[in-house]
Amino acid sequence: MPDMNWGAVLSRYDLFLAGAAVDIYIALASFALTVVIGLCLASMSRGNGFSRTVSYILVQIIRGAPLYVLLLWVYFGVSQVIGINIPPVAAVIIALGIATSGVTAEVFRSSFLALDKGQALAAKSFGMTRWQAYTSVLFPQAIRIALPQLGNVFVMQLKGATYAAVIGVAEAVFVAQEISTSLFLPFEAYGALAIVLVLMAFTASFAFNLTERRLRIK
Amino acid sequence: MIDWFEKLWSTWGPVLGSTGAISEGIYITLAVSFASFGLACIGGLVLTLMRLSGLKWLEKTAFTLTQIFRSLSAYVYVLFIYFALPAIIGVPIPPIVAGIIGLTILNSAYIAEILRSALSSVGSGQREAAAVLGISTSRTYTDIILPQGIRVAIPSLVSQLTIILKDSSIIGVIGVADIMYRASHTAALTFQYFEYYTLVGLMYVVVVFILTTFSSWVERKLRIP
Repeated sequence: MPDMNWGAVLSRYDLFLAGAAVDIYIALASFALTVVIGLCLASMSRGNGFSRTVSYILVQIIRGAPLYVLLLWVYFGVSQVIGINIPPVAAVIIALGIATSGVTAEVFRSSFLALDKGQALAAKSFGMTRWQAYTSVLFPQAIRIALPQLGNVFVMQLKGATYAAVIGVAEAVFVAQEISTSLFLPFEAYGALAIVLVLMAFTASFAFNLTERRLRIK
Repeated sequence: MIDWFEKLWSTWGPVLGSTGAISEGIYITLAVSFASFGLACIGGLVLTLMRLSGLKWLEKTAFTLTQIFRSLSAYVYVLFIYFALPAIIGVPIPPIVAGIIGLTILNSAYIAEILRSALSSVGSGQREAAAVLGISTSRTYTDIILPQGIRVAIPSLVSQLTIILKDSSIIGVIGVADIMYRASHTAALTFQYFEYYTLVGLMYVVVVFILTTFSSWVERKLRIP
């Protein structure tokens, strides 16, 4: 076993923290985006025949396209077609938001289905409009059912955010690559990276478990 | 209108013409995906049996390993195994092997979760009945629990296979010539990024669609009437 030099990597912990912060920022932003797209797709799949077909085709395409392909497609391809340079961070957020929206749509669809039919009927008999019924009766209950799976989606976002290094966003993987090549300490650099990322994912699932318990209807 | 068609053909014609050259990489994509899937099934089964062994420390170890394995992305695994591991073991690892190992470790964790929930969906009455009939524990697993559990697991296993297939696109970063690698290479040569990435994206969509259709067919075939 060769000599290890953990000190050199650990003394640069601030770089790793800064990189991890970028990862968390990307994950949060794309999580917001995927919730919006997922809700749109889910409500489309509850609509009439046409919007249901459109939503089905979109979900099939989104589910089939890999995140890495989507990322390069948005960053190099779409920016070329629309003639605007999309900043790398924005490209990652958009690609990640699209890539996970298939799963998110499915999560929302199944949580709305899991609600008792009586809830919608009761809201209707109280004279609520469709919008009121959704926002004050159905959605608050569906989000509680969806929360554990949304936690998984968020961990997927955290993992996906590491792909940003491919297009040069200075997040944790990028930091590890830089340290690995400049100090020639690949094992220590990537080992430290793995520890940081595992801790990040653990914290995220812990936070989601906590929120789930706080929101539970007693 | 004619102009528009000519313009469209002049951009997309060469792209469609090179479909054949790009799709030669599909063998590598499929080989890596299926190899990782097969190995991950074995790894997942080992982790599951550890989880269901009834020994506290073994269960704890398997649980912790599952949690750690699934919290890193395929990209990080590929980089770690290709760049970091050789520094410790002293032997270079070929890129394609590094890709397969990375995808295997990552997906063992997911497959372990799938198998665990499938096996625990087999009613405890089955286990008790086998015990009463004097069937050994290993025979109970191979003849009674697994055949029933696998039926429950198949849809989730196939959707995991599609996830592996998609994740395998990342092995291009360490230079394995799969379809994504070939597409980005050609895109960089011709500057037609949009066209080539759209093409390769649709290739993945088609393969994934075929797999999911096949899975629902198998599911219908295997269903216990």
